[in-house]
Amino acid sequence: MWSPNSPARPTPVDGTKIKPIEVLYYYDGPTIFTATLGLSEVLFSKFDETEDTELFVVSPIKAGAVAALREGRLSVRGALEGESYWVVQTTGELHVVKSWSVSEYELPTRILPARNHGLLHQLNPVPDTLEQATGFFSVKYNGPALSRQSISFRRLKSLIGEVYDVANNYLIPVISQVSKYSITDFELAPIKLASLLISIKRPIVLQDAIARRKLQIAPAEGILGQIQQQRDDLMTGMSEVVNEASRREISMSFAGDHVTWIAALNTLTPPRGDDINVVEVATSDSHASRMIVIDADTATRIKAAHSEVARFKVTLRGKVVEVNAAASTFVFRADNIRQTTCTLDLERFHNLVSGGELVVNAQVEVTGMFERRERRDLLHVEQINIAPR
Amino acid sequence: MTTDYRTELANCPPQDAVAVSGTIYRGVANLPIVEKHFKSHNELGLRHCDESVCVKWGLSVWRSLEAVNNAQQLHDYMRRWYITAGELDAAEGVIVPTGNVGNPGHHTLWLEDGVSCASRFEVVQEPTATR
Repeated sequence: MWSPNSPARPTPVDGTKIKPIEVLYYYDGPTIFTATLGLSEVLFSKFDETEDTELFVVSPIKAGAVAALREGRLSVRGALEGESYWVVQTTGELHVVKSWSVSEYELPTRILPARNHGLLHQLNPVPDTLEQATGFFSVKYNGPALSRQSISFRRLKSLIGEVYDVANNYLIPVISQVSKYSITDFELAPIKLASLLISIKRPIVLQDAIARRKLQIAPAEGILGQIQQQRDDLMTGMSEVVNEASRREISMSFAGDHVTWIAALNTLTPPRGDDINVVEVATSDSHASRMIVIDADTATRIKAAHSEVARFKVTLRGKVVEVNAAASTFVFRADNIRQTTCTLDLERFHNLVSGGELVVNAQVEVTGMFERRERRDLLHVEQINIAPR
Repeated sequence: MTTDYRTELANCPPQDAVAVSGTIYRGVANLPIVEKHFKSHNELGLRHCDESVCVKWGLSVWRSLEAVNNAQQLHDYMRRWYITAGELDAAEGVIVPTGNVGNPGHHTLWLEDGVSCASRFEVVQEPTATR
């Protein structure tokens, strides 16, 4: 492990005077800044000082990292992180007096900035990777079960499946005439091991599939806009749940109001004891980035709420997407996200249908016993209010 | 060293600096709190000093504990600091936000001649790490 007493392992900066180009953090002198060394642009981050000298950890700057840092969308740790570093000791005037070339395994992690902390404290937590900082929707799993060298095939399949399910179930809107899965897809960034990072770069509408089926449906821009809106709704809902669960056990009344988001978080978080102790979910686009961090205790409270809410009376609001006269059921989409099959007594059902009230696109508020199910949730309706059309 | 830079440097402190008021946070590496902790690097002749640069006659300070805590998360050596806080009056100095967009919590404080701080600042946060 590197220490200031380690023998020098000279680097190209020995004997030079560092000239900061852009100072990103200043406290009695520049502490985090960019500089040019030869043909490379590098990032300096100060981690120690004496009366006469300063110590910096230095790494090459990745494309886009400085802009993301400046905007508070990427952590300083993330901007620095790589497979190798230089440690540089300078005088107060930034003349290099000693330097070391150090691999990631030799660098004490405490000298790096803390994870998930960016320059703008108001925006913390922020992602540690550019993929999260720029991805449409990203999930990162951290824990001792995940290493850079390998991952169990079964675990990889399981975690990818969970993210796939949430993306398909919660992000893609209902599209009339056709299975939504047949005309949409997502483009992924290369999957990263170490901590497993699955980052959706962007959603895709498969125009060929639409043309082949001769479908008359909303333009691709409309579908993409709906996907973005549902992603933002999903992040807002999940943030509310994580904020609550990080402080206390989730009450049943809170759980009843957040059924959809608790279900999504339950899917994304592995069970306790799975050796994955932190899950990060991030979204980003041109105008904003958001991230939620779910630690093991928070995940445990969410899972407890999820198992309780499966037997809980809830009130949900949404839009009817299907009326099945043969089965005397209807399907509605709560919060425009997840579909729920509703059952109610036969006479009430037929009165509402024959009266023209229970029709596709009607806005309804339903109260009843909620049952969480694998494919589609079920609500045994006790009370129903249908908005006048 | 005195603070007569005000007469020698044009526009120093800068015109947009305003009278300081309210709580100021500053990190100190050791106790007891002494006046030296509230002298600029130019006044002490320490690293990065440059008498021609106005901001180096000022003190780096924070205006909130949130900004302090973030700085400590970003810099290992700051975790070993005692964080001190004190109240200053309007006549005792001028202050201006000098952090760039990436460092909005950072301010530079130019104290008036003769203002003493040591006895009026107290430790509000112990070091969170040791060497």
